[in-house]
Formats: sequence, structure tokens, C-alpha cells
Amino acid sequence: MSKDEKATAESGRRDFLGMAIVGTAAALGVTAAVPGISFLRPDSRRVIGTASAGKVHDFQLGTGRMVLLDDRPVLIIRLPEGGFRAFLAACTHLGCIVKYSQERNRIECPCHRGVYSIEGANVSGPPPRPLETLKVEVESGEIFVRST
Amino acid sequence: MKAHHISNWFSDRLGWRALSSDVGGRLVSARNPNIYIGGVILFLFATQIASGVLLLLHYQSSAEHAFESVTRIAGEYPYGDLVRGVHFWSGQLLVGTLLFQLVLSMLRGSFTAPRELVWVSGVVITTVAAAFAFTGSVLPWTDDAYAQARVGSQMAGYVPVIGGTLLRLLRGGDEITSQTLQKVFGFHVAVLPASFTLLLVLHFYTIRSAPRVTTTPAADGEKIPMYPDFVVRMAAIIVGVLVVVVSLATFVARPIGNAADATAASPASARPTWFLLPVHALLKSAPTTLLGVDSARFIGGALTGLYLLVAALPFVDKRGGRVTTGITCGALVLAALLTIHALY
Amino acid sequence: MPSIRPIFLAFSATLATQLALAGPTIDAGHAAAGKSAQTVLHSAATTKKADEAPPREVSEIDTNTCATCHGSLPETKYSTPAKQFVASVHADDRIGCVGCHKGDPRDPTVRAHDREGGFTPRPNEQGIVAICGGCHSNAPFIRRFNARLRTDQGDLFPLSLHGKLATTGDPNAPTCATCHGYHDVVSVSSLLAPTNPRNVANLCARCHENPELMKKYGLPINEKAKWQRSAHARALLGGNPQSPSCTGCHGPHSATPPRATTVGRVCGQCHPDQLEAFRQSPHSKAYRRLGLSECVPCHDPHEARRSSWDINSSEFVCNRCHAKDTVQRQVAAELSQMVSTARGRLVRAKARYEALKAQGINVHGAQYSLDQLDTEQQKLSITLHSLNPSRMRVPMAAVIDAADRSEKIIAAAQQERQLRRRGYYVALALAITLLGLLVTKAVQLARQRSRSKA
Repeated sequence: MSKDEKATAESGRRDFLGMAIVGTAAALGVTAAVPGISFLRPDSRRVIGTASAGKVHDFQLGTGRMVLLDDRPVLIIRLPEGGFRAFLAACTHLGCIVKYSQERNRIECPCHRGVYSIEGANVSGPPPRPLETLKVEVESGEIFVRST
Repeated sequence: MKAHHISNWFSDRLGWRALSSDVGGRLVSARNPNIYIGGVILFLFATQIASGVLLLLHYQSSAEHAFESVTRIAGEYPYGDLVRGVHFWSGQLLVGTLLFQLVLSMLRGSFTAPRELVWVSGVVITTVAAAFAFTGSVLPWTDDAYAQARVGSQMAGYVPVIGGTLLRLLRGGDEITSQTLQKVFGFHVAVLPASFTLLLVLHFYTIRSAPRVTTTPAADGEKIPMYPDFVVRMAAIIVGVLVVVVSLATFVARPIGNAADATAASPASARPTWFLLPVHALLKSAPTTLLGVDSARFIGGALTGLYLLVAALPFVDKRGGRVTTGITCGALVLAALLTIHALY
Repeated sequence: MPSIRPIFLAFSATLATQLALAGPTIDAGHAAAGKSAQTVLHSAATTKKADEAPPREVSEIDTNTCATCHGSLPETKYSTPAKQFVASVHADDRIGCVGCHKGDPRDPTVRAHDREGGFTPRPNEQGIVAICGGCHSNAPFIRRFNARLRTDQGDLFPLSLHGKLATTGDPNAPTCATCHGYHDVVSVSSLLAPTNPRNVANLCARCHENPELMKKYGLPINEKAKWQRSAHARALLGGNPQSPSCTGCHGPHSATPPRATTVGRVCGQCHPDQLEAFRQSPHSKAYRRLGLSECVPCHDPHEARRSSWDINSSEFVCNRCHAKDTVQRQVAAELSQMVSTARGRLVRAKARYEALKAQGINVHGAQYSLDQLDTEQQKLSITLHSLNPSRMRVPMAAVIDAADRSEKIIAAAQQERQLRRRGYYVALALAITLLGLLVTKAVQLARQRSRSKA
């Protein structure tokens, strides 16, 4: 080979080596990043299993009460005529905690004046979706709430 | 868009090319171990920061929840035990490398004028690293950690003159409570990292400023440019260190231990971190009083004196000759013997 | 029941009389040990408004002066009780030596020991019961000291065999002081008290393990040894204060052994579910016909613990009666199979968990599911008492289910670990490759430099 060709070949090898180094380093970087990122990502749980919300006599007729089940705020309403309703108390607009209004027999969100019906349907104001309903079962004086 | 177009875009705005040719062209001595060791130290520190940040995003620093959060990190979060292991092993290697660097400098006599400030800043850096190791071992709030916190803060109390203040500062009061843990945590993640970084900057500045003086002319020999020669060599060494750290973290099982119980007797197996084992041996074997004072207080004072002597070494030994080398070797042997005694 | 009120009234009256008679012979030394004569005379009539209970008739005198004098005497038979008393729970000014022995603490002369003053140096068994009961069965009185103390001892003790023995004047009969101590009485919760639950077995054994003594009454002497081998002893000494020793089943003051035919009822006080299950088993009627109590034929009442359900063992519990009965042995074999399967699953799950823990892996959720498995096991053990395999199918399924769940969690953790091990080897391979490439590059650069220098 002539001197020029040799030099070119050599510089080609050098470039290859350089690229190989960068490539391998990048791959190693990815294998290092995988643990780091998984470590920070907790599992997301979307449903509440069955959870006890307390005893029937803790809830007065015609009132709404907030309980924390599985770290989620849940609004439980004991209707004036008896019977229970349970909703995830996070407003579907931007997440403020809603409250039950007995006088107007509806659920209201104080942040941006969202209004929901007693069944959880979004009636007026900014909320785009109804409140998420939860199933209520009463067993031997204790209230159990479950995701539908 | 070609790769070098993108890099040109950044370079035009950030001045990379100029910087890299400036710094990259600088020559460093190829055979000087200090620069390689320094690079390893920097890498280990960076690893500590990265793994430490990951841990700190899950750790809870109250006495009631600390142990539980560490157990969750190791058991529940994916790769938790790997992150915890990396943080531990790279920390141990960091302290070890720093101590090695100190001893090397002592043996080579590279602390003499005009490099006194390099030495002093190096000693302080090593002290901060030891403080890192100590505070870090307290954070899991296991029974071993609690015992360490008790003994360590008590020993800090035996430093002459400032001992009492130091003890109350470390404990956040007179007794060890949740407040103590909070303070220790604050030191470990904020005060010490900031100090370490500033000290590193200071250390490099003193190195840059001090004209080159070495006792071994051979070290001056071959010079290589920073980029690409030194960078490549350093990268190789760093990959090696990384392999060592991750392998240790993966294969060496480190059970967490039991939660601290303030009402239980300290565990018989309670031992400080490895570099404090010589002190542990002394504390175990010393008679009740030495020269009329409690032996622990005496040892605390003696150690403070020794520390100040080491820190002021350039002013004590102006020539860095055989005497210092001899004493250093002797001290190392003594430390090794004490360590063995502490373990058995 | 003698109340403390008349005693102190009589006592103050005696004092007043004595002072009137003795007058100036009360020397300064003795006056130092008590309060002034004035106070004594006045306080006898003074009432304090401290509580709504009957006013405090106790005069402001030191009721413990006896101890001061007796404690300094050289003979230990006087000094020891005095020293013990001052450290005991009764060394209260409202009680003092005179509380039980009566007499006059203010009199420095031997007349303090006057029998006419009511002084009783050494009460007999019935006397002791009367003295202790006099305060301890008086609820309004005891309430002032410790409202939580029981006051039924006086009623219960005479009903017990110990109490009946005491009324006959038998010198071996235990009285209050036999168990609680004479002058060194401390609270039951103190570990020094012989009546502390942890010490009760040793206390009863003082008499009940004494061969000559027990021969007189025809009683066995091996109960304590048996109890020490029982699960009850293990639990109690292991830290569970609810586990019974002697008094837990026999009662502390109404010590009456349960009848051989009704022991089961005592067991059922703490183990109602097992008793309930047993009553539905074929053994229930059979035992009644044979005059046997529940529980006892399989579990010795003193050496109470799990029976062996290992069909291959010589201790297999069913063999005690059914060694030759084919039908019963078939049922026994089925039950034994279930028990050993369940136990095997529990042991296996726990072993796997411990193995992982030893490797430093903390499996999230495994401890909880193992606890659930333990609970299901317990429920299975309870149902076992019905001796009905078909009734045990549901709890058995629950045990298998819980074991499956635990092992699934553990297996998942192990799998994840293996996956990560593989990931590690991939990363290691990459790192070594990179290292090789870098070294090659470094060598190349060095060669370049030496060539350009040349």
C-alpha cells in the first residue's frame, strides 16, 4: 500500500474505533439509566380494593363525609331518605376535593364552581366528566366501598 | 442533519471548540499517579451524587419512618438494592482512595512547599469524606446505626475545647432523638456535598497555582495532551472502577439489620465503619483512665492532636524526607494491627 | 368483717388514757419519733375533708415506730421483719405495723405491747385471714389506696380447698401470708413478688412439689415439671402475660382443681373455638358417656401442648385409643394427611422466604402473606378438633391458597433477581468491551505520539 492509502486506512480505523467507543459507551449508559429510571417509577394503582369506610352510625342522614381509602379521598353521602352514595372526591376538572350540599341536594366543587348531580353526573361548570362512582355495600353495620 | 452540524451549532454558542482545544491541548504528566487518582475520586463522587439523589427521593428522614423507608428501598422499589449497594460501595471506595492519596503524598513527600495548601485542602477533603461515611451509616436508623450515632457523637464530645458544642450540634440537643436524625440527614445531603464541592474546587485551584515541585524526577518525564490521550486513559480506568463498584453491589449481600430500639441494649456486634476500626480497637482495649482522665476522653484528645499534626504536616516537616516516610509506614502498620485486633 | 375504724378509735382512746396516766414521763427522745401530744389529742377528734369517703380517722402519728425500734435490735427474728416491712408495699403511714399487729406505736415502753391494747404478736392462720381480709375485703377502705385492687379474696378464699383446710386449723394450710409474704409483701406486678405470674409456678411448687407434704394429702408432685414442658409455660416465659400458670386455671384465691369431668370448660375460657369445634365431633358424646372431660384425653391439662398428628410417629395422638380400630384409623389417616400437608406448605414457604432474606433480598409483601398463611393454619387447627374431614376441606383450601400466594410472591422476587442478574452480565460484557476499546485507543494514541516524535 502507498503511504497515502495507509494513512487513509489508518484514519478510517481510528474513526471506527472512536465511533465504537462512543457507541459502546452509549449502550453502557443506557444499561445504567434503566435501573435509575425504574427505581423512581412507582407502580400506579388505579382501583380501590374493597375497603371499610366505617360504621353506619358514623354517618348521619343527609350528610356527606370524606374518608381516605387507599390514599384516595372518597366522598360518602348518606341520603336523607336512606341509602348511600360513594364517589372519588376528586373533581374531574382539575382535582379539587368536592363537597356535598344538602340544601341543594347536589355535589359542588368550590374551586371553579363545578356542579354535579346527586348521581355524580357533571351538570354545570367546567368539569368534563362525571365523578367516578364507587359501589357501596353495607354488611353488619359496616360500610364497604369498592371500585366498580 | 449531520452530527457535526449539531455540534457546531452548540459550539458556536457555547464556545466548546475553543475550550476543548485550550484545555484539551494542555499537557499532563503521564506517569503521575495523582491525576489518575484524582479522576477516580471525581468519578466516585459523581456516582455518589447520582445514587444519592435516587435514594433521597425515597428515603424518609424521621426516626419513625427511616428504617421502614430503607427496607422499602431495598425490597420494594425496582433495583433498589442495586442503588443502595452502589451508593455504599462507591462511598467506601471513595474514602479508601482518598486515604490512599493522602498516604501516597506523605510517602512521596509531595506536601512540602509550595504545595502546603494543596495538602491542607486534601486533608480537609478526606475529613469531609469520613464525615460523609459516618453520617451515611447513621441514616438507616438500624440498631447498629443508632449505636454508631451514640458512640460517634460521644467521641465528638471529647474533642478538646469545642467538644461540647460539637456534640450538641451533631445531636441536635443533648440526647439522640428524631431531631438528631434530621440534622444528620441535612448534613449528609446538603452541608457535606456543598462543602466537598467547594473544597474540590479549592483543591484544584491550589494545584494549578502551585509550581511543579516533585521529589521524583521520573514523574516529570513523558507528557501527554489532556485530550484525547489522558481522557482515554482516564475513561478506561473509570470503566474499570465502575465494573468493580457494580459487581460489589450486585454480589455482596448486605442485609439491612433490625430497626433501632432506643430501649434495647446496643447490639454486641456494633462496630464503626472500617476506617474507624483502629480507634474502636483503642477504645476497647484502653484501661479505664489514662493520665488521670477517662480513656475515651484521652483518646479523643489524642486523636484530635494527631489530626492537627497530620493537617499541619507541611509546617512540621519542611523537607518531607525519610523521617515522615518512616513514621507513615509505621503508622500504617499500627493501624492494620489495631484493625485486626478490633475484628477478632 | 372487722373494719379499721373502731380499731383506730380504740387506739386513740388508749393513747389518750396512757398520756393522761404517763404524762411527763414521755421523754424527748420518743417525742422525736412521733408528733406532739397536742396534735394527738386534737387529731383524734379532727376529721379531714380529703375525700367523700368516711373521714380520715387516722391520727397524725407515725404508725411505723415499731419498725424503728425493732430494726435496731440485734436478734434477727425482730430486726428482719422490721427491715423487710419498711421496704414493702404496706409501709404506709395509714397502715404501718399497727395496721396488722395493733398495739401502741407511741409508747416507748413494753406497755406498747399490751394485749389489752389489742396487740397481736403472732396471729394464727385464721387470725391472718381475718387481719388481711379486714382491709382487703373492705372496698371503701382499699379504694383509697389502690382503686384497682380486687376485694373478693375474703369471699373466695374460704370456698377454696386451701381456705377450708385453714378453717380446720391445719398448720400446713396456706393463708394469705404463705403466698404473698408476711412483712415483705410487694405488688404482684413486681418481678420480686412470689405471686407475679412468672413466679407463680415456683410458689405453688413450694408445697406441691414436696413429697412428704403431699403424701399426707394424697396429691401428686409432678404438676410443675409437667407445666414447664407445656406450651403455656413457653408462652408465658416467652413474654405473653395472658398465658396461664397455676393460678390461670385454678384461680388464685379460690384454688380448687376443676373436676376431672369438667376441665374442658376451663380450657374453653381461652380456647372457645376449639371447644366449640370439639363439641361437634363424635368424641363429644363418647367422652361424656365414658365420664371423660373434653380436651384432657388428648392434651394433658398440665403439660398442655399440641398433640402429634404424625401418623408414623409412636406418639400419634389417635393411637392412644384407636390403635386397633380400622374405621377410626382411616379417618385419622385422612386428618393426619391434611395436617402434614398444611404444615409442609407452611414450612416450605417460610424456608424459601428465609433463604431469600439471607441473600439480602427483602421481599415486599411476603411477610404479610406469610402471616396470613399462619392465620389460616391456626384456623385449620381449630377446625381439626371437629375430627370431621369434610368440615376441614374449606380451611384446608384456604391454607393451600395462602401458601400458593406466598410462594408466588417469593418466586416472583427470585425471578426478578435472576432477570437482573442477566442484565448485569449484559452490562458487564458491554463494560469489558468498552474497556478493551479504550485500551486499544490509548495504545494507538501512544504509538502515534512516539511516531510523530521520531
